[in-house]
Amino acid sequence: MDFMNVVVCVKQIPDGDQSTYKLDPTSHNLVRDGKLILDDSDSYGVEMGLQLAEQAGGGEVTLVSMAPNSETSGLRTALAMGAARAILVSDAALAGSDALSTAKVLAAAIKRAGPDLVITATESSDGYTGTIPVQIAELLGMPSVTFSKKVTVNGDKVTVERQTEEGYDEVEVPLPAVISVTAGVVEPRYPSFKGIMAAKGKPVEELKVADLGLDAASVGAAGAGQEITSVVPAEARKAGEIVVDEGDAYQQIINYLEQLKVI
Amino acid sequence: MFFGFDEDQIAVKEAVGALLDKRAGLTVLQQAWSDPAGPAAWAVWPDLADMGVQGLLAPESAGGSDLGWVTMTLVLSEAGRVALPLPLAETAAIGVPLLVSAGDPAGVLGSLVAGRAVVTVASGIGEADSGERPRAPAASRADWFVLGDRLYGRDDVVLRPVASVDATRDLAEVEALGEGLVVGSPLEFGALAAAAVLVGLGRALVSTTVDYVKDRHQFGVPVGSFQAVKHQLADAAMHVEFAAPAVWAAAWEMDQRGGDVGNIGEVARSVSLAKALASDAAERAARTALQCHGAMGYTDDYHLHLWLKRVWCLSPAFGSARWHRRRVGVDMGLHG
Repeated sequence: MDFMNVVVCVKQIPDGDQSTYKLDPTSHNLVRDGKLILDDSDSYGVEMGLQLAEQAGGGEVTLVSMAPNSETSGLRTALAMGAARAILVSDAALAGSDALSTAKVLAAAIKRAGPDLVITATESSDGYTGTIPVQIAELLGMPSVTFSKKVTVNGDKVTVERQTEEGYDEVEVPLPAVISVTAGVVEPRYPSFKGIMAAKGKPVEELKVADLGLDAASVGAAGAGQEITSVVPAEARKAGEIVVDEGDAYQQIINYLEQLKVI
Repeated sequence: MFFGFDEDQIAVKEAVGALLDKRAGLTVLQQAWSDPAGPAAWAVWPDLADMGVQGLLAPESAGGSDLGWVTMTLVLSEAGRVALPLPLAETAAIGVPLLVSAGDPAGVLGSLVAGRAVVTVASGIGEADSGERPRAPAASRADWFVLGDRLYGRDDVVLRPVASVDATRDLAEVEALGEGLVVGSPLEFGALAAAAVLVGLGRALVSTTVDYVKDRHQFGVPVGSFQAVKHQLADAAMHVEFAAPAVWAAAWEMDQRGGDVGNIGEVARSVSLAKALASDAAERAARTALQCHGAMGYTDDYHLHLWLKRVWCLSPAFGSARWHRRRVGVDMGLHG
């Protein structure tokens, strides 16, 4: 392949860790009003895409993202790493989207870029559904490989070492394909100052739901197949029981484990 | 008129901050304490060069990005925040601009920008009465030494290691053997760079201590709930935040003059103001941090000392607060 067109899906998420996240009390959706940053787990996909485009001897990485309020801060980070351009879908109608509506939007945006390969992270660091990569693949009619820890492109095929609990499977699929990568796949580069300066001039195409030819009723809260009815904090862990060994501690432990029916 | 940092400056600062957090965190700093010239301490040096930090003040023709002093001071305060145990200020903010303005007589600019060579600076400024020879940090790893207004190669100096209160300094007395190359005085660049690092150190000391006093309980409440603690920390924060704009302003003036410091005048006065405020503020932050940590602050087993001791080293470097206040006074005709 002389020119490789790679699409990398990136998510822009609230800064900070989950302890600082806030949920809207009515909709129970994550509040995403402030500045959003590039999800760290997506930097691996961006790096993988850049490396594959370089190895192909030519090519470029197009970012695809869906975010509220025309947010581009996280996209700029990935553009500074070396991605060539970005497609951002930002539309108030998308608030409250579930995983499948998100996948529909992303798939429609990806289609416009006509990719040879689509790369995603395994899951986002704020939503954690982990279902979007395969949903995108299904919607695009492409084969998908998840948990990729090594990716090699040979002509019109991609070979992936797919992480499993015991080791890895070697999987080969024809291009175009969707692969989701793990955090171990490559070491993401740091954006250089030159990259940061260049990122400002790179095109970010902003689209609305209508631009993608999607029905507004099929996405966002309107199209969501799920509803969050309530959110309750996880139960605080109870204090453990301290067993003082007076020669019979083992018996107390055995009794305890028997009570739990573990032994 | 917009007077603040632009998007690029903030993006550069955040990029450097993220790199330092990942690659030069506390573990690396602690390794530098026991082995300041070792591979763990220096692992981030090439990463910084790849990002463009060493070349930040170098022209594009030398592989740099020529982003100017305002950006440089932001980056240096990030280095201060993590107490980076490497001669970044000496190489990127003193060596590089001196060589640029001297026309790179030794032909080393490219290797500095690429992270392959290291400059250190032996500063005796403001300590002339001490009778000690000038001392340079990172002496075991430096390839080039600025002494007075000259640059010397490693073979043209004699180094005598000396103990520093901050073991990460890797300090040595430097004596020149040869003639060296005239590159100009490191004073203005050094004082401004040290001031920027001190702002970062001061901010880190305040924020670490605020976290600590929220967490540490005594008499059934966090010690930070006591006014005697709150007020001290508020004072420390205020002094650091008052020093910071003086540093950015001096950097901005440096940029207006294209890095050409010329004779003592507006730039030197602004640099002195910045250094005097930053030295005082960082020392106050260090003293307050130590007080508010109680005995925890004293021990080598707890990381606070790494920030405290760096402040003690940098506060007098390139002129103490007292020295710089006097220089402003002389410049204004207040001293004989």
